[in-house]
Amino acid sequence: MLNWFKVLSILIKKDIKIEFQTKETLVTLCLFGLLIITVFSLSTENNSLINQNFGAGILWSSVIFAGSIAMVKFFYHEEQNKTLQSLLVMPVPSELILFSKSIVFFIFLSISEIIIFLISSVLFNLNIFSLKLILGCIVFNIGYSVVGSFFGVISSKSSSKEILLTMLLIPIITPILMFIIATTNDVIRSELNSNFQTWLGLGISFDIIFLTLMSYLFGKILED
Amino acid sequence: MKVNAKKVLMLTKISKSYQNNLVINNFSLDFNYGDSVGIIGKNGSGKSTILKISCGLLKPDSGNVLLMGKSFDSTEDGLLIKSRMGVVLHEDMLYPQLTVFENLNFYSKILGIKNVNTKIEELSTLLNLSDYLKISVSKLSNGNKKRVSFAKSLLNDPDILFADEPESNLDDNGKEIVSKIFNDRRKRGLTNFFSTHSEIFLEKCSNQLINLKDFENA
Amino acid sequence: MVRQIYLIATGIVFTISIWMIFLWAPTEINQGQVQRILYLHVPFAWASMVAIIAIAFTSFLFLLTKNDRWDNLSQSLAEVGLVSAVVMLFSGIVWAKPVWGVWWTGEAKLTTALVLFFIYCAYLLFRNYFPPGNARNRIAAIIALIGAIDSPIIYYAAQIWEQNHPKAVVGPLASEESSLNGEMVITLLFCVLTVTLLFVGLVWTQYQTNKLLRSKNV
Repeated sequence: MLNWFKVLSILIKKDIKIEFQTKETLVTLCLFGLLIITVFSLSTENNSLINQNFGAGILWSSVIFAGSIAMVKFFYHEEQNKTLQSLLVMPVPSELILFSKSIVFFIFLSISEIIIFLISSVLFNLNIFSLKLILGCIVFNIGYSVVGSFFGVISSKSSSKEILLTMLLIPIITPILMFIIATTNDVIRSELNSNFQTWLGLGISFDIIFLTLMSYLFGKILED
Repeated sequence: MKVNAKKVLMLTKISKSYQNNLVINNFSLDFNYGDSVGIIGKNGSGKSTILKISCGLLKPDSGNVLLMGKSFDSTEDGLLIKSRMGVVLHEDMLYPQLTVFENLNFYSKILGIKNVNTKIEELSTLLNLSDYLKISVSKLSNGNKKRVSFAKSLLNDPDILFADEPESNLDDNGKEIVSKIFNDRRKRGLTNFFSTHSEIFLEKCSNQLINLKDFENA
Repeated sequence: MVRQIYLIATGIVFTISIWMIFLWAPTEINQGQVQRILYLHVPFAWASMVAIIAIAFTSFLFLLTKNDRWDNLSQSLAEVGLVSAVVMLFSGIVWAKPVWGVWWTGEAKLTTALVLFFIYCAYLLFRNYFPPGNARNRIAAIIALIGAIDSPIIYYAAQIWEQNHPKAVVGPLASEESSLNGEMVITLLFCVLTVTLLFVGLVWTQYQTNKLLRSKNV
């Protein structure tokens, strides 16, 4: 078990080191996300009452699409240099590859969300910072990173990576997407009478189900 | 199934097809510890496929693979085998963003090697890589990448070394070094399994030869 | 030959069901003629829901047996399932406007149906975009399983969503439910039977087509 954590931390350190060298994934995530936010901000009148109605939609569509583009980048090099294969002939349990990728992407996603939320709360005059949202984001990011890494590895072998990843990822994560949008809506409109607990239960169960399922299936998608 | 303790590798009735194209049909092979086995054949005759199946990268459609008496099907045994083998393929399988040292350091940590620095120093001297340790892999020539790839596969001093065309991309000096490595390993009772096109290399390094032509109609 | 007889029989049954829909079944009092969409909408909704369960089942069998026939069947089911989902969505939209006053609402069933449609798309898109071979078929089966496991979760999430958002329904049928009399129920059941027959016939035909296409690729 000690060895398990050690290998996991080596894998994570390696990915973060590479990201420090190239800065590709994080920059893609933040810039692309901000670009979508900017396009939306051009089309609104900066009236916070109106923005309250579709703020959640804007925020999350930018995170989702920026996330899936960054995910493609994140796996592109691994496939290009066959480094995933080299881990397969090393004594590394396959689910650790999934976990390390998910954890690293979780970190990137969280950083980019902080930046995107800060900027959009300025652009749209929204007040969105609350403990509820942070908790929701953590649950959402776990699900998104795990399912995204799973499909990221699958689609990295195809020639149309971007469209394939997006098409696979978004329908599957619909439940947690609904959860996070409902939560964000509540926070933006400062509504108290919501069923946040039911949603949180759903989000956590989604994470647990898919974490188990995908760590079990991950070995099967790697072999040729 | 009877496990023969003397055999390091046993392939039994392996078949593998790509997109309805049967590449390997009912292929069997086994050899002992300490053998140095070279495999030759035309392009597309399935040399790489056999190597990849032997080292667990590809799963055969049917048939059985036993490496050091263990099978890849069991996760625990698979990890045990993998910690005792080394693989060099056509692709370098290195992280181009990292330096040579960082690459080797990463892989040796994964393999759980003690005295990482001494080991890397030893291998880089052996493969004439000492000057390149601080340089990122993306800036290396193909020949040097191949050398790093070799260094990577030798980190754990593997019981069995798989190499797909080990001499390709290398200059004369590199070929010399690689055949020396192979012969040293043989003297120490370690196993090599490689594919090649070069007859000279084959003569130098192998004590057993498999020609895929002989299997075509088998 | 058997298939042709089956298809002809299905055609006859289909003709009868059209007669039942338009001439035999009485017009519903509240909704008028437009209610007759029900006789197509419900059976196709049924077909697309059953198809995803069937695909999960055949995919599971494929993973278990590695027999290509199951993979072919999954693909054929998905192709016909996608068409059923499109018919269901389109007939639903056309029906909702005069009855509810809106083309679309955030109702749980509707959201689930839409996401189901996208899961079918993703599955078929994957089959087209991924390099063909054993790996593709296996991953496709895994995707189908994941989609099937996800669908009840999506439905549950859509239900929680619905609780928070009161329906924006303002049409003539906003408050009262429609009542079906005996003849209508018989027609509906007959139509479910018809569409099931049609569905099986289409999957059967598609299965044979795919089988031919696959054998041509050798």
